[in-house]
Amino acid sequence: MLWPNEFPRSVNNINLTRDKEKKASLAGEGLDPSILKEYNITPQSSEEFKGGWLLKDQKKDLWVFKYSGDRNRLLIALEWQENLAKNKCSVLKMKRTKGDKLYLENNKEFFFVTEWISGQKFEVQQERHLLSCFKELGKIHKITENYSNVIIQNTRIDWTLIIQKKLKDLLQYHSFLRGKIKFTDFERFFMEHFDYFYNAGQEAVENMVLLQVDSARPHLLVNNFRSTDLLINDNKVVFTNLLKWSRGPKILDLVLLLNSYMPLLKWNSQAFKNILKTYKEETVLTKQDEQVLLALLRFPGRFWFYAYQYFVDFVEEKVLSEKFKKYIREYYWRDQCLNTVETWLWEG
Amino acid sequence: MLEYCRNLVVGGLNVNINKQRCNLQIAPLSYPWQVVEGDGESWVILRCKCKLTLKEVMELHGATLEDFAWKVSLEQGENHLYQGKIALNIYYNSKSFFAIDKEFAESDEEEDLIRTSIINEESSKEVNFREETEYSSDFASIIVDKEELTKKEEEDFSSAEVWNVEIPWQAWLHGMGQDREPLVEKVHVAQVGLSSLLVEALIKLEKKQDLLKSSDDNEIIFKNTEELYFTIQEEKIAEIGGLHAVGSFFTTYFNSNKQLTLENLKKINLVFISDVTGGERFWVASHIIEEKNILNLGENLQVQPADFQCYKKKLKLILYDDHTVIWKAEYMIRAMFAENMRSMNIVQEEAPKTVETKEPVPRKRPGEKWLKKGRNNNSKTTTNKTLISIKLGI
Repeated sequence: MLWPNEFPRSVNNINLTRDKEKKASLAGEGLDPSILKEYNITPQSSEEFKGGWLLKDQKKDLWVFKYSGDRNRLLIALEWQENLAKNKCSVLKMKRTKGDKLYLENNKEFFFVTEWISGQKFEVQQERHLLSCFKELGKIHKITENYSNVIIQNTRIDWTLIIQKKLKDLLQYHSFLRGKIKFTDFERFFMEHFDYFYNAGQEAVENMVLLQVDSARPHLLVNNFRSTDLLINDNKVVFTNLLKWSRGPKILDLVLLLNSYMPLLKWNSQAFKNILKTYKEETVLTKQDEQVLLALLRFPGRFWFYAYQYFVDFVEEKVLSEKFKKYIREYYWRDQCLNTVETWLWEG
Repeated sequence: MLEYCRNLVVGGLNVNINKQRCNLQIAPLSYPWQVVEGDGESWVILRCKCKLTLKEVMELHGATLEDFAWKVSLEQGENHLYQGKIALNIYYNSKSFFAIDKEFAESDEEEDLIRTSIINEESSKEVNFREETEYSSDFASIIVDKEELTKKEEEDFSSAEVWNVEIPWQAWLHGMGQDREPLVEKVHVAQVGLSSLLVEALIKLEKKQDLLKSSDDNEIIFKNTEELYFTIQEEKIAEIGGLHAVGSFFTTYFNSNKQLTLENLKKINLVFISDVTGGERFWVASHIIEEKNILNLGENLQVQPADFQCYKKKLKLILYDDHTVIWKAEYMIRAMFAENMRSMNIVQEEAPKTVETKEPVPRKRPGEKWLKKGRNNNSKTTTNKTLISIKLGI
């Protein structure tokens, strides 16, 4: 499933801008009119937007999304989103069809409609945006704890095993390089820092085992914090896309969000502390959760990913070498921050 | 792969012998030493790495030679064992990771990809890993020649950090001729990682070898001019260090044309400096060839020569292009016979010795002991026999 990164022409203000010179089709190019009929929508204008269409009718803006994935995944996401919206979480409200369905199927493609709200682009350099993100995420996690879904409860992902397999991959790459005489720059970076990163990964896995990360009831995870899928409305972050959901301990959402944006803040420990405080105002974070959080943040996921891209995906060596250098520098900043935060957490 | 083409001149005739393509092996790199000992020439490559803690190498300045001490610790005929130590100062600048004022990139897209890859359990199992064929590097690399090693330009290095390196070394120098003084030919300093430094030192040991002028009948001399073309495909050669050969497993026999044939193996070592930066640049490429020479010693040789000695005079060793080296030399092979080797006091012949043996203790006759008691006591001496002849008249 491809996620287009495009915004409409106006990047800072995601209102639909009317191009008076351009005659927009009322139905939207490529959108089957029967779908609009099922949703009882009579748009005044429409424009292609984020893999779907942004429609404007008399009352509000609506977003028609086209989905080409698994039906069960879609249903779980939409039901969850509807539940969150009803509980006043920062997600887009669902619109049901005339037949009270959450989605329509048409030629092996699925269509669903949500309300669309105008807002600003999410900018991590603005600390209030980032804090709002954690605040709203905390609310979602709190509501989701009481949200039961049979499929989620009956299927588990063994995160410890999954992450341990990544360590095994790293050992394979290391073993392969040990048989070589000549190395590229990337391979030298890899060998130079292998021991450090591997030990960090090993420690993370050991902590996950000790803390029994996978034994808790699995949680629905947002699992998507790309800046293109977040917007700011009325000083609150809105999560516009829950289709990439996953399941597991809720800490994994925190890990993904922190890994995505803390580098831009140079892993400032004070910012980290503020984030944790903000999150804890909305939902509970136990001591065990905190230990799991620190362990997972130390896991060198990006080290594995770049190595995988290099050895298996054959991504260009120069490009990866530059990225790798930046990651190595960033990791030392992260380590320093986590050491400070760990001490702060222990002191209570 | 190192391939060569060989033209051999024997007695004015052009003889093409052993023209073949040869697959050569780049010798494995070795820390802290890599030694190639040849006939009349030995090369020592010393290597050392260091990794800075929580720092990134920003700039390399160079190296100076602090000390180069050596001694001959063992002599075996003309072969000498050298031992020594080299001390170098490497000058560089570094910066703490936490002092580097660089912005980190936005990571949300990449973290999303990583999370998806992890969930999808993408794995490297049963996959052919990438193998590079072209190597290039953005790492800094400096080669310091022997003339520059002893210069200390304080103003250039005053603000630099220093890495002091001391490495012991040892190597045999074989062959005939007078020893020249060991020399540090070149030093290579490189950044080989974000925080790692590498130093390599190239030391040369050499004998001054001249071709023989002796025309002693007992020292059969065979002269040969050799021109070889070496090509290394895997490496780009920036500079040649040296080339030498070691011959061994000499065998002589008369071929079907009743010509005395000398067969032997010869290992050729090419020490060169790679043009590719980013890592080790002092390399050795080796190859073992089979040699066959016809010795014009006549058909009536009763025994084979006892030993062979090789002398060489380098005529040409040039880098033809990035991958090709041309080598031309005059070789002299002295076939030595036992008599000749004796006169050289290799083994001293001893004068025949007279073996002195003691007379056995005289053994008494049976019963003599008791017989002696009833007789004259002067019987110690040998018995005096009196012969009485009786003439009988008839």
